[in-house]
Amino acid sequence: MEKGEDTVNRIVIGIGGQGSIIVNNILRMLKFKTGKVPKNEEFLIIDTDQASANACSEVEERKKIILNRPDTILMRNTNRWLPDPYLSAAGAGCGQHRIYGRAMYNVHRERIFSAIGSSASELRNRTGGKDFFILMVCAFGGGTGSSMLLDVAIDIRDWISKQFGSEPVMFGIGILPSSKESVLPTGNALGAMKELHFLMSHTEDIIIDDKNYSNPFKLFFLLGRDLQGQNRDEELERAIPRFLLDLGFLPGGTVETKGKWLDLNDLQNRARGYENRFDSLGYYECVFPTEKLFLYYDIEDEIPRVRQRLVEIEAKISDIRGKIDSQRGELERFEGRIKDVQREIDSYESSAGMFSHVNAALTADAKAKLDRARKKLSGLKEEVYDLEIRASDAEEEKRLAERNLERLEALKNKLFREITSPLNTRSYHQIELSEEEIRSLKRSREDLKNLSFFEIMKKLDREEEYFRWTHSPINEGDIIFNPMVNYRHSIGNAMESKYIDILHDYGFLSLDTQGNVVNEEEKFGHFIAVLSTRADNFDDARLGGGAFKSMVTERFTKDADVLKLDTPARAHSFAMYTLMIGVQPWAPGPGLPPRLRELEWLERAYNASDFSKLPRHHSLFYGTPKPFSIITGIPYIPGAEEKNRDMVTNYWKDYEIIEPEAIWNNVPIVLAQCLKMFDDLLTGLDMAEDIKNVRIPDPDSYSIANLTMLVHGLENASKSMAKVTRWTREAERGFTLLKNELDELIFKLKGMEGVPSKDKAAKMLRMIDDSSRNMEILLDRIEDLSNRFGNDIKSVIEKAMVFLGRIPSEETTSSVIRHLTKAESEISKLREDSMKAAKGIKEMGGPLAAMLSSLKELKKITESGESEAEAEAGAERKEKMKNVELPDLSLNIGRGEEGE
Amino acid sequence: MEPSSIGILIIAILLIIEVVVMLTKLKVDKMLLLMPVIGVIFAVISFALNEYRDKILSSLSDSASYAVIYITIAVGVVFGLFGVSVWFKGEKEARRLASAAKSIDSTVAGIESDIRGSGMELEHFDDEMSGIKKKVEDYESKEKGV
Repeated sequence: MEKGEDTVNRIVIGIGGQGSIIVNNILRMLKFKTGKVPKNEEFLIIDTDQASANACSEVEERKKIILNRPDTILMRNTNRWLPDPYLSAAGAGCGQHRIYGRAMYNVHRERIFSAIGSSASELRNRTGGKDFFILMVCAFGGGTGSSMLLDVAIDIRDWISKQFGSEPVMFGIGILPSSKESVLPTGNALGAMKELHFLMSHTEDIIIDDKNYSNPFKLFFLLGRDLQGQNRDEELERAIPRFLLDLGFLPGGTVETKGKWLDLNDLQNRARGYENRFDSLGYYECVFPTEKLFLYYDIEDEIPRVRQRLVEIEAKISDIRGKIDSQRGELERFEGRIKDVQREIDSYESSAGMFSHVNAALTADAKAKLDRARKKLSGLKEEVYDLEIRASDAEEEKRLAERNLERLEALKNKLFREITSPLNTRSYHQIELSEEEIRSLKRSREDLKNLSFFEIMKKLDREEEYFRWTHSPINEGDIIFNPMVNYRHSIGNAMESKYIDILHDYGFLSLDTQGNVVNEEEKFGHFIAVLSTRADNFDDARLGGGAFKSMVTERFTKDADVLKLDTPARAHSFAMYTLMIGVQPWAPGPGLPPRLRELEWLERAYNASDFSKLPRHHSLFYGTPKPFSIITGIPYIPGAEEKNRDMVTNYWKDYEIIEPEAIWNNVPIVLAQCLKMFDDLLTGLDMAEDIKNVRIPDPDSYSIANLTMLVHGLENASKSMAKVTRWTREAERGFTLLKNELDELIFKLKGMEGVPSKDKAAKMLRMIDDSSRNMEILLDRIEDLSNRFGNDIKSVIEKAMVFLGRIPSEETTSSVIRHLTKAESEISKLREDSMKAAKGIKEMGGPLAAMLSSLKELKKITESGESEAEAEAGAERKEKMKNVELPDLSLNIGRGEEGE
Repeated sequence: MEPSSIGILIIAILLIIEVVVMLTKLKVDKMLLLMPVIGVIFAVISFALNEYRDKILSSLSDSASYAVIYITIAVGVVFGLFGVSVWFKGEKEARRLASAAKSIDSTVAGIESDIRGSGMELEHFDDEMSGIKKKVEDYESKEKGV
């Protein structure tokens, strides 16, 4: 090993189709960048689809672990727990059935390990180092990668630890399916996430039967294929290799000593404490298209040269064709000539005797020459024929070359289009150049190589644009919203402002000067932005790294860093790589969308499978009930394969991707919903009360104006009644929903160990007390209103009927009759709806009373563990809160649309 | 010895030389060699008649005997010259044929080298055109990389 050379053995394993493609891309890019694969790196792929593995041309054949489908007998014998429908798979590979992938892993486990093991040993022998870094990449939607990832990770960690005496550092990359994919891959992804989260939650060693079941990954990056509603596969495939290579996860042989920013140890330190949470990557790059420009110039210069040469070649070929024709004629002529001379020699030779002389030597020589010429001639005739074919071939080749020239022309045009109107995305911005700029830069193309990105832009008089695309994402903080998953950074973007106001009033969140929500609970762990470009491209004053860090740490993350990497990956680029460590994918509260938006469609698809179909989405612990039982505490029955399998399935079905501590954060949100609902109820009850205040004119003072007023009053009352009837129905539904949420929350909290912080508990208790008090008031009002509502309406109707009954008969014109008919119809509607509304109001009391008891139970749970003094402090605060006016809230907790 | 005998002797010697040359150097057909041999015989006869004219041709007058002698030597010379002319004619024809064959051979060789040249040129074009193709592919792969 040379001095300064990286001795960490690095193994990159792509599992399944997409994982393999990404490994192939990494290898291609690595070879393009460095020309070779460093000796401390090994690239392996594991796939069950031969065709897909064959497509990975950069991976050495011996590094491809292709697993063939075993026959059903072997499958059955190895996997007694495997249900019959999954003994074979449809389509390619594992047929997107994770359970089948698990069974395949069991069959091929030894083969997989001998391949990975021999690669690890080879690395060990080559480098002499005993430290291993293992990167595993797979898609979560498929059958192979998502089913084998965890087993391979656990097993390889054990194997390397035992074999070489040091635990490997393992990072994982999982690609989530897009929202447009079918139920099977989408459901698989949630299954894989549940299992991964389960393992990640166990950070301490759990040794069962000499195997460690704790979290094998130091960092696990989740990446999405569907970002902001658009398919970003291409970006993903480009971003992952660049991220890994440019940032030095796979440094390509040597560790950069200058500008070294983040090595594996540093990264592990930053990730410490967040191993049980997911992570994500972000990528943004602004480039000046120098490479494209140079290529465009080369092609532009090359085309006329090639065209000129092709014209020359065409002329030469036609010349050769002419020659061939004349040579063929010559050959035919000489064939005749040879015959003539031969004849003459024959006759010369035949004239012997006294009166003739024959020079035998000369004739023999002539004959020999003729013979040679004859032979040559016959050979030449073939050669001419061959030459003719070759000339035709050459013409064909020339036509092909012309087509190649057309291709070159098309390539030039494509490059021109790409330079003048690039397809820019959220994560990739290429500076757009005009035709005139392309021409002007060509004159100074040699200088471009030495100029920095900034200097080139300055030369083009486009400095402001440069700063807008390179410095503003940091200065204005946009880069935080650019991860390669759909992540909602703040509850403020997902929740209605009225709920935010309630939570703010109770001190669960605060607002900054711009009104943005600041909530410590939902901040993710660590945000690192690595800016990679030439040192002279930075303008620190315009970058505003310090301000960015302050803004990000105030609103979105517990810790942030902006690092400048002065070893740029490319000549004229300004790249920003971001790492989000310790993200919280779950929903911030019941009724709110998950922070990781992908979970919305993953959960929808997963829930579409009934229990019998759920096993297809799962893999971990099938066939190994003992460790499952020890870790979860759920007893298993040895030998009862089916029951144990169903037990595992059932566990996964109910498993939620959420930290137990985060469940306490749901309490204030549910309580805010309760408070908002109560407020709505009060509004509704006021509306119901108002109906009785319809103005009925004095029956003794009839006039057409009074009649019109009565009809309008009845119309309005009827409309209000319809609203109240609808509202009672909605309120009942809302209460049932809220009651369910509350009960579910109580159920989860009951099973939990630990309590919230004292301060938080006190705030919650204050909310519970307010909710309970409001509820009691509501119950009283409901009871009162339900008792008299019918009578109030009846009285209104009677008064109206009296007025109508006293209309003098001489006044009954056609207009009055129309009014009368209308009034009677409204009275009839009012009567009918009032009965429904009264019933609805009365029935609301039931769920309200049930909720009141649930709230009391919640209070008990919250209070448990709290000292009396804390409770007193809570009561004190409650007194203070009496004057807080409850806000007027709408029914939906979440916003319809959000924008970051 | 008379001067005429010396002249006849020289002619005879020349004819003998002709026979020897034809026999050794020119390697003529034996039938053709008979001509100068007959010429030599006539020259020898003429020489003998001239030397022994008094004895052999005594019956003839001087002018008749000289006529016989000169006619005999003339016949000898005619045979000798005839032999030479036949050889010369045959040789000329042989040279013409040899030169024709040589010319055919060299022209065919010239055509051959022309054809080879054209072949090589075509091969060069092939290389050039595959070079163009490769260049285009290189540009295309570079385009993918940028």
